[in-house]
Amino acid sequence: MTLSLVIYTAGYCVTNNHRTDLNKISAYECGYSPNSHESNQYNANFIIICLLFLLIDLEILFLVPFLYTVDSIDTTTWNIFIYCMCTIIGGIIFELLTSSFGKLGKIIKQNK
Amino acid sequence: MILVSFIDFLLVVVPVLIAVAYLTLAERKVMSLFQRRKGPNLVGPMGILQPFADALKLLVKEIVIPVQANKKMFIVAPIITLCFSLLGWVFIPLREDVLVSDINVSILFTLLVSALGVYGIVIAGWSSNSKYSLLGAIRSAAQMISYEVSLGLIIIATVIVAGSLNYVEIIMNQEIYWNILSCFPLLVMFYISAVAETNRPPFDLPEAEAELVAGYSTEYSGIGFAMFYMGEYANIILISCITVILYLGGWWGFILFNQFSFVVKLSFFLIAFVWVRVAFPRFRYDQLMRLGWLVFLPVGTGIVLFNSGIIYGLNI
Repeated sequence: MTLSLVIYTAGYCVTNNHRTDLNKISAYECGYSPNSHESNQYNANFIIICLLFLLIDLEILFLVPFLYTVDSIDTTTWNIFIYCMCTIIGGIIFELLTSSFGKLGKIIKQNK
Repeated sequence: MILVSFIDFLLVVVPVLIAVAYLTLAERKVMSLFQRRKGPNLVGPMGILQPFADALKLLVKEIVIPVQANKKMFIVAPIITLCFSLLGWVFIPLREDVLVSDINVSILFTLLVSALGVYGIVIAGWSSNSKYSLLGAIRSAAQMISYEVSLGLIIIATVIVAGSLNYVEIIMNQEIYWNILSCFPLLVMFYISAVAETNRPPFDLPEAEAELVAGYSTEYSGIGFAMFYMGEYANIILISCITVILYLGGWWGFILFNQFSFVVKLSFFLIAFVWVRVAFPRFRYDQLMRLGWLVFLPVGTGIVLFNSGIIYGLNI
């Protein structure tokens, strides 16, 4: 962190120009000022992707302690593992069949 | 004690930054060789000083902070991106005892650091307050987290073979046979997920120039842009190192190059990154998401079950 701060402040101290032109500090909009505040809108599908990631990543984290017991798996341990995996897989199948990943591309095409 | 660990950290990070600089040059020269031309060869002999010229140019360029951006977050974003890219390097072992910190859960920390890397991108895109930046940042972040899931599953499927989350243990387990012999499909899936995770072509639609100018780093110039660039290449080298450690046996040699085996295998994967950039057309965004969620996630789960089933059934 300190290294990154050092690099950034070095860059800041070395530059000689500081915000002299109105055209330079305006947004990247090919020459004119933006007319509306549309910049705060985005597609709701991205929130769905983030929620999916959150839940499935937590499930994967719960699989990690299983790696330490792999050399001594009992029948009971295996049964419990299969039960948990079936729950996870059932959740994934349900989620993927009813979500809108295919529609994300069509929505992006419409935005152009 | 703090000074010693700081010096350890610097001993890792400074060569990584030099490697990042020369990776940019290597990428340009290798790409140009694929296209039957020579890359940059004017600056030093055969262009060796080109990265330093680029770094110097970016250092003295003016830092433009757009008038509509949130100033504090705008400045913080490249700093934390570079910070997290360099932080993942403390767990990489070059030998049994040549690493900055030897903890028993290195893989978990590496996944953690790469998941935190998404923060820098989202903060950059959101604080720029510009349409292109926000769109690029959100698409980039969604792509990165989709392939986080796939990377996590594939790492679990591989580590089941080794039995420990420690990098040194995994490499010690590969003394006789590398993991590529038992996990070759996993290596292929891991490498594709790695290319998608670091937003490299052919998965770089969020940064594609024709579509979104430069994605989340549109409004950045000078040292901020350089830090994003360095962070991306540091991520590339980090994930190539992890590929070598997990699948190709770390520092164990094969026939030739027994002393430099780690570096030789690492450079193979780095050149493969450039090769994949040259050879393949870009993926459309919904094809990319489909690959991450509907292909790699079920196959990864299946391979986890398969590997653990083999270990349970054969009483290994």
